[in-house]
Amino acid sequence: MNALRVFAVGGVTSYRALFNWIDPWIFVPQTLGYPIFEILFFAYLGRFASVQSDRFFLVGNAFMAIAITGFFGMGQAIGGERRSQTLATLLASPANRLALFLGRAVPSMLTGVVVAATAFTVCSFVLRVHFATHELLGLAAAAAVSSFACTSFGLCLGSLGLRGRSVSLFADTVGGSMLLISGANVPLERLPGFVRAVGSGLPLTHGIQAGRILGAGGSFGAAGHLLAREALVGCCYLLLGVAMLRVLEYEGRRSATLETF
Amino acid sequence: MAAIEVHELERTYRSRKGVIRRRRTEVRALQGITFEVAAGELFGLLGPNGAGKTTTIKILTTLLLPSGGSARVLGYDPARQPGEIRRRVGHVFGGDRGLYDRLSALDNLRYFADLYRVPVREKRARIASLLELVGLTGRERERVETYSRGMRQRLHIARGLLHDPEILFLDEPTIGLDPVGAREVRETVASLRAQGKTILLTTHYMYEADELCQRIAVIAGGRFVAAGTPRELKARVLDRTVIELETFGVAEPTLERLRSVAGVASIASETREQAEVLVVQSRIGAEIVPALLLELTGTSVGKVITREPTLEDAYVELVGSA
Repeated sequence: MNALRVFAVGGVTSYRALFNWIDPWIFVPQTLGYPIFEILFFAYLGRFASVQSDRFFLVGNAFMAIAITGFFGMGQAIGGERRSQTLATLLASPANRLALFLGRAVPSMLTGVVVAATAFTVCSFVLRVHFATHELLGLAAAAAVSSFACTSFGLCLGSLGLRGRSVSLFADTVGGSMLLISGANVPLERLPGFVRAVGSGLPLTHGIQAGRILGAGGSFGAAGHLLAREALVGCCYLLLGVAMLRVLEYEGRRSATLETF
Repeated sequence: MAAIEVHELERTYRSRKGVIRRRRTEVRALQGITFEVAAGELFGLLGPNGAGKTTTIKILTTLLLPSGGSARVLGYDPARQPGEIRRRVGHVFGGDRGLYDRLSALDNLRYFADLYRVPVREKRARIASLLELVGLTGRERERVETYSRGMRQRLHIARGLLHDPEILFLDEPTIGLDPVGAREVRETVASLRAQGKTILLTTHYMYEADELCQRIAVIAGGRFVAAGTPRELKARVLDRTVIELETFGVAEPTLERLRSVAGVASIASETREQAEVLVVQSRIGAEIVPALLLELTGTSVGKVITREPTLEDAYVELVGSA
């Protein structure tokens, strides 16, 4: 019961305590503005180069917005505690670690979905791309699964915060590389084999493919195997993240890195 | 059974420096310290900066693993049974660490009450009584970022007591506080002592240890130096007379000459406002003053005070000879 409370109430409280973008003057330009301009940039670049449709870039980059909030939201769940110098206080408590850190995932996932949905809506309007209701429902389902997978991956990144200070560098690098590797802006079949192999082990890749099928009016039968792979990737990273939390907390106690900031 | 048992505790910090030529450096923060704290006792751990006080507390509160030796907190091993200890102890680190600035004091306490598994039914009453104890009733809905250091520190104490811990670890709780804030924190600690709470307090303020602690252990450079009641420690220098000489810029060679004056047990130099004060412990009483002044010929000397030794003098003697 307490773990549930730490998960639900604690998650929201820590989100309020640490999420720097909660101020609308920062949240709107940074969290919402960036993905909107990213979608428009790639869509207009695609138009100029006549390589892919607006729909291709719209779906791919709206999913990237989910990934970025998932990576950074969770990635900063521990790094933020380190910066605010509350990590030691938190870790000296008997709270269930899984509930403590996964509780932070829910507001992060919701933020990602809201940001992606807003950017998607604004850019659909600007680019004059229209989706039918059943296509939007399919996209929402793919977005939800991708959000889970990205947040699970973010948990792995976040757990590195128990060992070191530079998690945001990792998240930046991974986030930037996902623009290419995930197939958000380049069709997967045009990428070299080894890049495709790396991408298939990362979150978002299968989610974007499923989103494109569902967003083009395809059935869940056609996209189901991709959604299942995306969910499987998410589950694997979730388990890895939980293991990393345990191991790196112990390692932090051994190497005295829990309080460096 | 003692509430806290520390036996030959060691901790070495290892780090690497350099990019191409990586050099390993080692700092031995604890080199085998031993002490015990009885249940209901307020025990002081005294030492200069870098003595190993905070390292000891981090090990006992399960944040750090020892490199050697052993420790027991309420019979549990901090290295192997951290969960058992975390449920039963509270901790307060000095300075600004450990609170969410953007949240109100009330939200901070509610959050940590959840982390410390305070039953929901008891939470409201517990928080209200702790706010009362630390004198923050009426200010609890304000964001912590608007609090003074003293208020933050008292809020830290309230946080540390949320789950009614059997032992409270206080790591330099008055550091950086103004005299009024420090006094308020000391009053809170004294009231906890009166309630029978076991407290391990680290400080380098002697008057604080003298006022609050029933027993004290002095550590320096990670090594155990001495332990006893404040009275016992003071007794080590009771045969001394302390002479304070207000001077202005005494060079090291002059200090060396002063140290060699017959009857001088120790000399410490302190800066007080604009002046440098030489604190001389004499084995032969105030008769030593003319000899000291003779060695200070050519140096500007202000007030000369002779007084009884305090715990601070005992501490200076202990740490100086360590």
